[in-house]
Parts: sequence; structure tokens; C-alpha cells
Amino acid sequence: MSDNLALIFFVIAAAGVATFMMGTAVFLGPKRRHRVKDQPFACGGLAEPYPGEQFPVRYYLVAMLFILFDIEVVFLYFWGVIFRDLGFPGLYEILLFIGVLGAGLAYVWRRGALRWV
Amino acid sequence: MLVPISFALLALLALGGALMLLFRRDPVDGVLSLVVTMLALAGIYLQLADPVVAALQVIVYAGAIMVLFLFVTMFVRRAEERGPLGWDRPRFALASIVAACLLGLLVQAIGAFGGNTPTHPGPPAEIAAIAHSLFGEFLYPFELVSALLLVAMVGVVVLGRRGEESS
Amino acid sequence: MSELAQNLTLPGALLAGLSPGVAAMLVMFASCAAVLGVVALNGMFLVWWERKISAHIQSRVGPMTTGYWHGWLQSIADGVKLLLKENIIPLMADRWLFMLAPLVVFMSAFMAFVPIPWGEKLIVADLNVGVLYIAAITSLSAIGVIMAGWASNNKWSLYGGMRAAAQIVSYEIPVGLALVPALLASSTLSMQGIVEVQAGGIWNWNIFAGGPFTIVAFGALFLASLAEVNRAPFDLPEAESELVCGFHTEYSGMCFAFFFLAEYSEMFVVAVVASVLYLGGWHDPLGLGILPGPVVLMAKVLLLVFVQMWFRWTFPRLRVDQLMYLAWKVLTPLGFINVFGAAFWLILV
Repeated sequence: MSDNLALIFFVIAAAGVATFMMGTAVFLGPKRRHRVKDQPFACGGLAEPYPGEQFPVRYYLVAMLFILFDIEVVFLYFWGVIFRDLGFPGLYEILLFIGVLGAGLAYVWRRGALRWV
Repeated sequence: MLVPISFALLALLALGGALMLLFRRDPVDGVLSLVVTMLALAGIYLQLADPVVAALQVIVYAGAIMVLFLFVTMFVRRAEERGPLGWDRPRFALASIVAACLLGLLVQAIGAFGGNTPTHPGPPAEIAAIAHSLFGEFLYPFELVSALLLVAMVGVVVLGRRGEESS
Repeated sequence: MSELAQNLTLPGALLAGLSPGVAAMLVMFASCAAVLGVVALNGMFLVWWERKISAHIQSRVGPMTTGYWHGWLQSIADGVKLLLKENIIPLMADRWLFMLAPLVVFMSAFMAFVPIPWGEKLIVADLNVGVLYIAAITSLSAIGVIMAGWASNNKWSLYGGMRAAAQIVSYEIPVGLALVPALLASSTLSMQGIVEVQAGGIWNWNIFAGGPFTIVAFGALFLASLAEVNRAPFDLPEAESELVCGFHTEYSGMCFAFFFLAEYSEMFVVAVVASVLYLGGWHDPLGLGILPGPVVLMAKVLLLVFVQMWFRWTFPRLRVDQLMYLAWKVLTPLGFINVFGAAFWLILV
């Protein structure tokens, strides 16, 4: 419980200090708005009204694979904590777990889903 | 004294995020407000003295699945779709049915506690205890998870390929 | 908090007259102020240091004027300047999200300081899920970065934000895998617990616990965490030759300063994680225990940060496909090999 209190305290304090500093900066700084200055930066050209392009599907692939492997790594943390208690049986259990997912990685690799071009 | 207050604040935050998700016009804004809900839920888990689940909530939901959602909205979004989502009739009907089913499930789940919903922190969860039950009692489900993740991986590649061909 | 109240040696006179709750609150206040001070000083020092290092690597001298002695006041002058600059928000930008994004990125770096063990009794909160907590809280910077790119309403920002997020999540896997061998050696997730296991000299450090595998894991952790915090040679999200400045293109003044502060805090945090998990944390190499913990830890951290900077000013930036190749096809399989190699080594040797 005391740990939680520390976390709450830190969240509030840090957010407060950061907001205060940003607020001070907004308050102190000059406020000279101009139609041209406030345009989004586009290397000197005219900016598009908003960035309207679609993003390629590979972002989705990476995010999805990330979730799957992230879950796997979390399981590895749990195993890591009690690895000494489990000994060899635990090692074989996790070897099976990782083996299946390693096959998945190999499949994904072979199908070219990891290629980023 | 502190517990009910922080619970109320976190619950309000979670609810507010969910409502923002419903009423923000832009899908990206919607996902970002869902992040607030996820973090508030993590806070509630932390309050229930379960730092392990809280950390997993942040890692898996707030950190990973929300990034996926953002990438997917960026992928499906077209410039002209920045306006509000249409409330056409079939979509609304389908959404209502799904929502009603979810509500039913929730009511049933809450009822199953029989008024003993744990709102006050118990002893903190030990990570080693969780790990022992994972590699003891729940070993077979745990190994099956790897198969589930493998199927998901294959599915991702198949779907991704199709998306690549069409775009 | 109990930990702090018991362990942190506040003057007895202060605690004597106060109720335990108030005293604990005071301790909490002091520790929070201390960590904020560390973060601010660290940011200012590292910015100045990096400018000096980059200058000397390129046969220049760097800042020399401000403060007379090697420009030591440069960062403070910059800070004051940034505080007084106009905060420009581009037209059509989402103003609230735009201001919120640097806060999210900064908070995700700052909150990672909570479970850092500075000494035997010097820790804000020894969370029992310490390593998991740091992995969780730092993963939120991906959200902040996309937020910044999206709110700016600028295509370079959005590209930079998306790329940064893709890079951060891709490298989270190798980082996570490279942490596991250290957990195998120490059997705990608590940061303080991991340090305690490594007492008694350099030969007890986790880096040597699993033979060659933990050494390689340490190297992989260092490389992958460089990419995780978007540092060169992995600084593609702000590749100025293609993306202007990436996700913080539109930021100015204090909002930009917070992104900058977050970057240097993240460098510090990943160096602390590497030091705690593999290099014995606040234990000195000879196991003498003469030097105070914070000094030993800082020495290790600054050494690692120096190598991070050295890399930045030595290696050219990778291409996007090379970056993904390294993450998924080199470091991830290597991480698996390390985990099993270290496990077998620890059981057999």
C-alpha cells in the first residue's frame, strides 16, 4: 500500500511541476500569432490541410507481432523468477513454449512479414 | 478513507475515457481516450493490491494493444473520413445487440460475487506464487497459450498479405 | 513509505515531535523533490556533456563562453531561454493533445525513477514487480510519441511519430528478452533484490553469472535500449534528412524542452537498468563497500551514457529496413538463444 502511495505522490508531483513549468512558459513567452508562422512546417511549401495519407499495412503487422511476443516475454519473466525452484523440468516446459513460438517466428520470417521495404 | 476516494477518482477517469471514446468524432482521439480508461483500470488493480496485474495491464493493454489500435486506425483512415462516424441503422442495431449481450454478461459476472465484490485491498500478490501456479496447476493451459499465439501469428501474416495485395 | 520512514535517516528531531503519518508524508515530499532534482540536473548536465563530447569527437571545443569554465552554464542559459520562448501551436492542431504529448513522454521517463535503488537503504519504493514496472511505464512513451505526431497536424510529425512508435515497440521485444538472463541469475523482479544478489565484487555480477550468454545479453540490452530511446545510430524518428525533425517538428519553447528532458532521462533510465541488472547496481567492483552507493551507481551509469554518446557521434544512422532487420532477425533470435544458454549454464555450472 505504501508503494502505491509513493506512485500516486510521484504522478501528482511530476504532472504538477511539468504543467506549472509549461504554463509559466506559455504565460511568459511572447504571443505573436501570424497566419504564415502558424502554418504546419512543410519545408517551405504549402502544407496539406491535414496529413491524409494511409499508412502501410506493415505497421499493423509489426504491432500485432509485438503484442504476441510481448505476451511471451512476460511469461518468461514469471518463469525467470522461479527458474531455480523449477530446475530442469521447468526448463523443458519453457523450451516447449518457446519452441512453438520460435516456429511461429520462423514462419513469419519465411513469409517475408518481417521485411520492411 | 483514502481508498474510496482514489477508487472513485479512478472509476470516474475510466468512465470518462470510455465516454470520450464514444463521443469524440475522430477515431484516433477515440483510441487515445481509451488509453486513459486502460490506465485508470491499471490504477484500480494496483489499489486492489495486485501490482502484477496492474503492470500487465499497462504493458499489454495500454502499451501494446493501444499502439496496435492506433496503427490500425491510421491504416484504415482516409482523409475524407475525418468527420463523425455515421449512425446508419444496421450499424446501430448491431452495436446495440452486442452492447446488450455485454451488459448481460457483466451483470451475471457481478451477480456471481453475491455482494462480496472485493473493493478493499487484501495482502499484496506475490509474483512467485503466481508463477508457481502458472507452471504447476495451469501448466497445460499455459502450454496451450503458445499454440494460441502461434495461430494468431499465422493469422496476422495471412491477413497482412491480403491487405498488402489490395492496397 | 514505511520503508522510507524506517530507512531514510532523517534527523530524529524532525521525526520525534511529529505523528508517523505526517513524518512519512514529509519523507515522501523530500524524496519526490530529490528525484525531480536528479532528473533536472541530469538533463542539464547530460546536454552540456553531450555537446562537449560531440565537439571533441569532431575536433571542436563546444560551448566555451557561458559561465567562463568550459561553458558549464550553457544548459541553464538554454533552459531560461526556452522558458521565455513563444509556444507556437500550428493551425488546425489539436491544442490539448499537442500540449499533453510532451507531458506523457516526460512522465513515462520520470516515473521509471521510482524503483531505482541508489544504495542499501536508499530507494523510494522497492516495488516487488520492479523490472516489470519499468518495462510497463517506459512502454507508454510510444503512445505519447504518436500523440505528438498526430496532434501536430503535420505530415512529417505524423510520419516521425508512427516510425518512432514502430521502432519503440519492435525493440521492446529484444530489450525484454535481454532482461531475462539477469532475472534467471537473481530470481526476483525487485530492483533492490537484484542488486543484493550481486554483492561481493565484480565476479558476482550478473554479467558473469551465465558465462558468455549473460555477457552477450548485456551487449544486446545496451544496443536494443539505444534503439528503444531513439538514440543514434537508431534515431530514425527524427532523421533530419528525411523527416525534418520527426514527431517534435512543430514543438517549440518549453514543450520542446520536455521532449528533450525526456530523452536524456530515458538515456539515464536505460543505463540504470543495465547497471542494476548486470553491473551490480550500487556495489563497487571490488566489493569493499567504502564508497557510497549513489556514487558507485552514478559512475557506472555515466560510463554507459558516455558510450551511448560516443556511439551517436561515431556511427551513421541506419536505414529503416536495416533497423527492423536488426530488431526482428538478429536481436530477437539472439535473445532466445541467450535466455536458454544462460538457463543451462546456471543449472549446470
